[in-house]
Amino acid sequence: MSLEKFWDKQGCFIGVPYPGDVGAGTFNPLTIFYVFGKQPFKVAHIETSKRPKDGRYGDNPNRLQSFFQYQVIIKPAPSNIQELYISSLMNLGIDVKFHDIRFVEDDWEQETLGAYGLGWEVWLDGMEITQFTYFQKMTGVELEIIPVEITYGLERICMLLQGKDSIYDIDWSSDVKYGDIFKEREYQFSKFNFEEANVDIFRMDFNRYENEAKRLIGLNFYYPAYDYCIKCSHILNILDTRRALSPEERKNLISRIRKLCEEVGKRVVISNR
Amino acid sequence: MNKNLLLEIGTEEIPAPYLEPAINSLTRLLSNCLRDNLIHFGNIRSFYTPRRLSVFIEEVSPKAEDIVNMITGPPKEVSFIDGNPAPPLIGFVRAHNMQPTDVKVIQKGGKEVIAIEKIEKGCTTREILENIIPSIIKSIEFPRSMRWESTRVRFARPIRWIVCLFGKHIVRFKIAGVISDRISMGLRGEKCITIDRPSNYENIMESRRIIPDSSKRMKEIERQIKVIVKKNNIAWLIDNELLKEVTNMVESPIAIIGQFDKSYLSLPQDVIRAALKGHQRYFWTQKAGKKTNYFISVANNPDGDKDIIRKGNERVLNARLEDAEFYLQEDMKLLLFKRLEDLKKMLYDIKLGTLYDKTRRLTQLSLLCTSWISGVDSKTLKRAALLSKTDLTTNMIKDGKEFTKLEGIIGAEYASRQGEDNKVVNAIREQYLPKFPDDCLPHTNEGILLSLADKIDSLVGGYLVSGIPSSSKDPRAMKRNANGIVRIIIEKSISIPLNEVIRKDFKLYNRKYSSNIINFIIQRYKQYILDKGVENDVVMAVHETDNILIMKMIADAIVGAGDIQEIIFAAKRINNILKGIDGIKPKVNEEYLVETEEKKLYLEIIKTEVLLDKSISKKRFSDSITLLLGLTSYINKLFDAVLIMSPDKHIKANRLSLLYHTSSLFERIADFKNLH
Repeated sequence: MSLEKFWDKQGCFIGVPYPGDVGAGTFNPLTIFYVFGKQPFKVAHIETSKRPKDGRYGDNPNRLQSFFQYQVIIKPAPSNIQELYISSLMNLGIDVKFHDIRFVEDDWEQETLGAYGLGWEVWLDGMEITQFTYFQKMTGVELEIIPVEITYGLERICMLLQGKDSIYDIDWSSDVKYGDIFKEREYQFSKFNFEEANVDIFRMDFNRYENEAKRLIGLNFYYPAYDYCIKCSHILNILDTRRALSPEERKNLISRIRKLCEEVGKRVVISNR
Repeated sequence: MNKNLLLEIGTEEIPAPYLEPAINSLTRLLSNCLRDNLIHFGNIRSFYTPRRLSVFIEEVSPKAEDIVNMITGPPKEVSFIDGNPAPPLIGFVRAHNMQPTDVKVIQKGGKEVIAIEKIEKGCTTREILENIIPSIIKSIEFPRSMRWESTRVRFARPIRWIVCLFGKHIVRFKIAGVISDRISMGLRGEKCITIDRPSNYENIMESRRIIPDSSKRMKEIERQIKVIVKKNNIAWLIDNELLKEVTNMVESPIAIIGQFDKSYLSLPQDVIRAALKGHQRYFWTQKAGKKTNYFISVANNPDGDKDIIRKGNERVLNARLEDAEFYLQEDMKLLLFKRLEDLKKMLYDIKLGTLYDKTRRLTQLSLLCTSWISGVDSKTLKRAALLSKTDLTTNMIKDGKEFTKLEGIIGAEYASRQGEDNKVVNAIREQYLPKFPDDCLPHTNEGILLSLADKIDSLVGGYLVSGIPSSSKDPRAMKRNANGIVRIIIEKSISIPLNEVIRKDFKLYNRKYSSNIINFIIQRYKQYILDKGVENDVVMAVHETDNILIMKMIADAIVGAGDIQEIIFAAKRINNILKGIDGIKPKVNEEYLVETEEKKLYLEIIKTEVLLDKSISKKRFSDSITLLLGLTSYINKLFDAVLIMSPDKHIKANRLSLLYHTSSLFERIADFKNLH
């Protein structure tokens, strides 16, 4: 909530999480469709990120297959953005004076989106709490105006604020712990992602969604087409987690999704003109 | 009056490995710029932290030297009439805005011509710097650079401030929307820092607890760590590479000790080290030779609360080790041997088949190698080869982030935990050694052969996909592999005809043999011993063979032989006669040997030949050289007493055959005639 107020004050409009499965806030159409072109854009929103491979059956105090991110995109990147970011931490109640805050090199690349940027992961006392990236390319297109993306890892920040050693011990509200709501879900989804997901169905779905995306791209309906790209991307992650893909096949699926995303990107750029 | 110059480029955090090359390039560019503009200067000091690249230059002259240009005009003879200026001269000086009294007469091309000296006033240093520094900053190269604002300048990370002072004055310029000034930034959350003059820069920074000098910063970190380990009665595992990296990640270091959960000490040591160093950049400690659960981190905040930071560090490290534990538990559910099936699904390369295919080739190649090396347990070797690549299917290697570089090591750890023979474990562990130029070599015989087989197969595979690498492009690390082969063979004294192994590998790939591989290895070998200081002519004189150990032993024998001038002299003398003559019969006909000297030489040759061959087969090449030295007096006597080109054509032909035979003995060792 305080993040929302903070970035609202900075002039961001408050967006909504994507209703489907996405691997990161970057996949949200609010990022993808607005980073192109010259017009300024500022958005902040929460996002549920699904990373099937990071599932740990509810055992690891620090890793989840589904977690919350707070996503901020500002275009163009303001020159005092690092200071703004640090003020936002102060605002959350992290007194940076006592902590060790570090910006550690982490060049970011999202192969399926054909996106890449340079920046850091931000460490607070050794823990990665934020991904901080200046986008350079999206869907293979060199960006005209460079946006900055700030992605906070909310569970980890909560752990720090509440001094908890495990995500599951976080007080999610005054009388509910994070584990009460999510631990069983983590277990079941880990079980599903690693062991139970029906590979054949997912493979079929991948092909169907890919075809649908292609058809929609042909009609220049790039918004719905992009929804299907996201679905394909999540299926890829599940198949990968299920160990159903050889490295070659994985590469192949990634490049197929990437092609779709590039087609979508091209159409957004054209429509912006 | 000369003044000091300071340039500080203030940035958002630049990646640690970029810093040193960047500061070197900035220093070089700036000093070259002064030199090219004829501006004198004194000592240079460079500073850097993740947020600043600074150069301080003492005693810089305030302006560039004047340049005197000699401009020639018309010939002297047409320039004066009765000693007075004539129209050509008047026109010439007027064009250059000067007076007729300014001219000189000089010699040019043997003629006297009129000339004037035009002085180009040197610009002030400040003007020059204002014009040039922006382009200097733009030409610093980084492994990766980015854009962040509308002028689309590229730099490693955004430039946020610039301090540029010449004496007390600001050198004013603008780059990427930033205007240079005297205002620098302090630590995050602290006030700005005003720099009054360049010479105070380091002191001012240090008074604000920033250590801009990287070597001072490193010493400070070392000092703090030493205090901590002494207090806790432990020793730190000194790691200079890590120390350097950590130094380049902070500007105001404080070392903090922490502990991870003791239960993780049961993880493989390399895994713990990777978690500590590879990701978190923490130092590990030991006590009485045994690793402890204490670690030391270096933070970047002198006001930081050590307890809060320690807790945070411990929490992260425990989570990473928990991850490793998770991978380990998952991985142990499937025996390495059972993972062979998974290798059939994993491609080694799209053009070269699966990792299972590679495993099969490695098994055959390494077993083939045992024909030349004694003391190898082939059962061990076969098992190790079979399991060598299975760790590539484990979670630890496939998904383990900082653990993925532990290939081979993880295989060995798992093999050991699964009860494989110790020898098998060691061979698996050593299969990738040496991984970099100064890396250690495999110790066990099985490890040596497995590593050789792996490297040869990678070399042949790399060649089949992309040919022999060029000097700049080597995407498949073929040079590293070939260098590894050379080092193992030489430093472990492995006598092996490489071509037989290479030929076999081509066959296993089902492709046609190419001699390019062995030639490539021989080239790398030559570079290797040149680097060791062996003279080029010696390297070149030794005949190429696919057993490079022999090449090395012969080179050593030549270098160690002391005086071989007699051999060289004799070899050159024989060559002078023989060169250009065709159709020499190789066999000497004793009937035509007339003079004593030739008879004696012939007898000596027959005797020596037997001994020489024996010494060669025993690889006692110093003995071979001694034998050849023994021949030289007979050769000299022959040349002194006997005319080779006898009028009798049979005798002449026979003498040539005798020399040919003699020279063939020399040639069995090396091409002595081309030595100096």
